[in-house]
Amino acid sequence: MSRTATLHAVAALALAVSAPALRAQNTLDTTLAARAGTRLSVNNMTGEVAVRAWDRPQIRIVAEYERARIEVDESPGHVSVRTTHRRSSSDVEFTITVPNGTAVEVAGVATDVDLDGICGEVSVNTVSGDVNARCVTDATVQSVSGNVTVTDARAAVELGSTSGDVVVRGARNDVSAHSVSGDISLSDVNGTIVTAETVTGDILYAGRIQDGGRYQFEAHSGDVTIRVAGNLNAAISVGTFSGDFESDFPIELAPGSRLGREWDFRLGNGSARLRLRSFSGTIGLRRGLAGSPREE
Amino acid sequence: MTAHLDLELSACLDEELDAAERTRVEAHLAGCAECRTALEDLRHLVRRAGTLDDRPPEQDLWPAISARISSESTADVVPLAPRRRRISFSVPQLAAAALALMAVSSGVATLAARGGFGAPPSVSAPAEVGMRAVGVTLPGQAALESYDTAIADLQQALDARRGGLDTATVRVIEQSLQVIDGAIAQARAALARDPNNPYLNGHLERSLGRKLEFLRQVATLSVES
Repeated sequence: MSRTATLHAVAALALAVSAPALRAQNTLDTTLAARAGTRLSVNNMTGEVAVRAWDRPQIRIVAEYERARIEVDESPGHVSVRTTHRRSSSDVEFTITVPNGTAVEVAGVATDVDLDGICGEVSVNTVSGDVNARCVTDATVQSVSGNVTVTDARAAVELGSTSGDVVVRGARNDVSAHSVSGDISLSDVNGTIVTAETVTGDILYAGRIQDGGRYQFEAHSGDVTIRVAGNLNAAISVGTFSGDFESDFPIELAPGSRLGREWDFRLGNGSARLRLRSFSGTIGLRRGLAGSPREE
Repeated sequence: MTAHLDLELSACLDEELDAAERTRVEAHLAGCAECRTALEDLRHLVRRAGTLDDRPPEQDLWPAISARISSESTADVVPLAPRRRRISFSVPQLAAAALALMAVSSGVATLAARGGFGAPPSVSAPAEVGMRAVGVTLPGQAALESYDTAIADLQQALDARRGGLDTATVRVIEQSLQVIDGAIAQARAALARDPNNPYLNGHLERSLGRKLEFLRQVATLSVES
């Protein structure tokens, strides 16, 4: 059974008398019981959604808004929070606290999303907002023009932004990142399937190349730079049309390979497969992490 | 060293080998790291294919487009039926199979098609040299035309709902389409000068796939934006 509570008028209403702003600021503050495995979905057209974690079996929803209707729908295993606007939209600022490990889904338009310490499954889709997430398991994040930053990903993540940058700092599992005009920076990734694609942005990967791993990095006009920590045992395929290739590692081309197009070589025992492509950018294979995000 | 395993890997994966065949395949696998890797790649692809989320876009455009792609390229693409079935394609054919997967979910399938399952390196070559060129399947004209058709469909859908998107979003979308179109144009121009270049063929195909995926994402943007 679904219980819908429309909390627009009955929410705790607080006039921000201490603030210099002339317009009234409403505050919603409500706490719901949440059994293990409850999922949270938030749909906020404009504003911000911040989600934090605690060790209580409760979900606390705090929202600050001026002109909006906030609907909280609670059903077994699922809590849904949604904002609607009658005329022009105005920002709604959510701060939601959930039990550790809660699966969270956020959708928005001009909505910044900040997820901290949830360590659960995450799905975010926003048009123009930035997305920051720290400690997630499976994560799918998509923004059109915002930047996407994920730190401490504990399961496979798929991240994309059309014009924004995509940054991953620390991932224990597979990573897929893509952009059109944004840069992609991946560091300290321990997954064995890693892909990054952008058209005009640059790609930087800094970290270990795992034996047996599969890595694919492709740009059109952007640079592709791999900074390798530790040993490199990989069968490497490089392709470019008018770009350059620079390597700190000694390489010897396979017979028949043509420089300036596509060629293959092997380093160490060749157990990983590393595929590097840039139509017109520079492909760099660097030894060590100097210049990587952690070093800067 | 005997020839590398090909169709036997699919049969092995589906546990359809008889005892004699299994003994032979296991003996080969024991001594061939490349075939072990290829088998693991196959397992991974099938596992990931099973987890792909085939959600249709809000306007339900994708099933028709996907069906059209499949129907127009049946010569190149192995259809993936939802029921369990024997996967009996050769290793090079995986590239074409993964193209179909890419239309559903670009990430993993792209990796498989372009990087993971080419001809394996020769194990008899010296350690530092001699890796065989990665097998590249040149995209057929039908496949490229399917991309063009699907892109045109999605482009039409985008045009129809442009008024429902805010101007800033439309601007970002337009700029991004220009960026992708620019890359496609450069790839086509380069390919016109060097039509048999495997890298350029693959690059053009991937660029078209990227535009397709981008348009698909745009088609699912919130109508409230």
